[in-house]
Amino acid sequence: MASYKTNDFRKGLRVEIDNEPYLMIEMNFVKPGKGNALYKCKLRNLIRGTVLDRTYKGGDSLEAADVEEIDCQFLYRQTDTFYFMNNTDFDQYELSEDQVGDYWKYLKEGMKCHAVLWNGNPITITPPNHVELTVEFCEPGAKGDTATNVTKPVKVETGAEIICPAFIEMGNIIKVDTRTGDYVERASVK
Amino acid sequence: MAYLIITNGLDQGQLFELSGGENIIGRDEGADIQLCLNAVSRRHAILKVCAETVSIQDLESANGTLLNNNLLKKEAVLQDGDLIKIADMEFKFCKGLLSAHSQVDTIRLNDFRSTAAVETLLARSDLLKQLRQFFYDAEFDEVETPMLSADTVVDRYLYPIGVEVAGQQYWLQTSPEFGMKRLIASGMNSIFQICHAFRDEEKGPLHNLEFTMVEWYRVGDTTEEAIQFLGELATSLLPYYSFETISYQDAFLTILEFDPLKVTEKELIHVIASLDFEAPQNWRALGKDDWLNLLLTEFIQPRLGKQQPCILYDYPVSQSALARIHPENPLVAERFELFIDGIEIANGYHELLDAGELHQRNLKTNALRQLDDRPELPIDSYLAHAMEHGLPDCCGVALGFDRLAMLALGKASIFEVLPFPFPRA
Repeated sequence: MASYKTNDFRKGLRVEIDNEPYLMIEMNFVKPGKGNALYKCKLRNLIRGTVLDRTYKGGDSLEAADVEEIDCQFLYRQTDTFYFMNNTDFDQYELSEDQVGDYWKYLKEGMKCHAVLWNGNPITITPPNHVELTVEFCEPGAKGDTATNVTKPVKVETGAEIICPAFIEMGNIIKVDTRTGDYVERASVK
Repeated sequence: MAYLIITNGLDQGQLFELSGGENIIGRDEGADIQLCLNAVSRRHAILKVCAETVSIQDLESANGTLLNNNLLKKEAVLQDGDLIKIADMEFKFCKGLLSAHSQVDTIRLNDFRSTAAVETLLARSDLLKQLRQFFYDAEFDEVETPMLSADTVVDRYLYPIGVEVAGQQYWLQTSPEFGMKRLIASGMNSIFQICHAFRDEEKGPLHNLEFTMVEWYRVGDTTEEAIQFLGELATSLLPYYSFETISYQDAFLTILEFDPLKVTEKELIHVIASLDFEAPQNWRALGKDDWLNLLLTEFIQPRLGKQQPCILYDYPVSQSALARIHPENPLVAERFELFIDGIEIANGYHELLDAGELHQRNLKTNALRQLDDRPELPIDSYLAHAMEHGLPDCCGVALGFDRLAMLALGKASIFEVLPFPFPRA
């Protein structure tokens, strides 16, 4: 497999460390005038999202990771398995509940997502930053609760619970930020 | 979809896709568009993307946001092609990808531009003028020596760029040291040079493959006199009243509480293992001087020159490079370095005069280079001949001018003071 020497190190490199794929998100070159160079790297684990600090000395090398990013579509969910389709070559991928993580809350059939493939297999799926979801069930808000600081949980079409302002009613479409899981605004009233 | 495109500087052409809702521009790690420049506030400005419009608002940043060259006072709706300026960075706002792509093409036509602002280059020119005046006032003569030479400094961790001319190997100089010493041996006394030097594989905010070096030699100087001259040069070009000096040994004793001249390899491994920092992978495979360099870089250097320029002197004899061994203390070499705000600025020697000793050091260095899979460098040189003939007793110092200019002009990286950094050279 291809490898990168320290001289090739740069932001955006995809490498393998301890049999897991990482993205080099920062690379700082430090070198005394008379001394060996240090390459201080921040690497994001592409599966778990954790960030690793690693320092390499001049002459070290890292294995290249076969990682590509693709656009795909969420097809459907069958119990614990999520099915996606590559928008370019129509290949289908299965992801487990663990791999999808909290994002299951926002996945609607046909939704365009972003996927990362490692050695041809999907390792992460990211939905759009903002999604619109229909409220399927919620307790009615008490009369006069119009202030946004009064909140309640509502159940949306995907089965997830989202914390919303008390004025949200069943049938409303709400906009949710998938990065934080927060309610953003009411998209429309049905 | 809306986009911001950087239209100047080193990141020219970089495209940021704006997501629906709020996009923060700032120095903060959590910012949607992170700009690592000192003049940018942590949360500098906000772009709000709604269904039909995108608006921009300054977040009471220290240095403000310019929209089409007017200071942004209140929230404004952006039009396709609007120009946003934050610190030295310019962005063009594009409403759609089609418009963004045509912008990127335009930028390609524009990549001839300097990454440093024109005002900065003018200030750099002023600084060069002051620097030359400083040398003229001290009665130095300006010289020029070849940048392309059959000789090159033999150092374990310097990677000179080789050039073949008429079947013979030449080297782009990693410093003008050899040429200038040949001039001293030829009879010159106080000489300085402002020239370019090349060091392969060096890149980063403080490194560029090709950089500007100021180097000077004065016959008859003692190490103390050379340190004094370097300190005066720093205080005359930068806003400091005085400078300080500390020995390599004292710096280690004060900050890390061990004696770097007497420590054993075993003790050193123990020290490194007990310190809380991100040590390089396989650091145990390094040698003693690499370990000392590592500790210097990580723990000592960041604390040097915080209040005023600091000159570290009397390096371990194993790191003598081309400095002479101290006549009264065989554990140290008469080598010194200038640090300002934790940044290495200059390196000086009371020069080694002994041709035999130079030969021995070169052999040792080449053996270490072989360990690193690096090519051997020529041991015989015009400098060796000059030293056999007799090099007068002198001190010499090399100073990185781009870093000095960066500090003098309050910039965070040398790319802000260089017009065409590598690889856009």
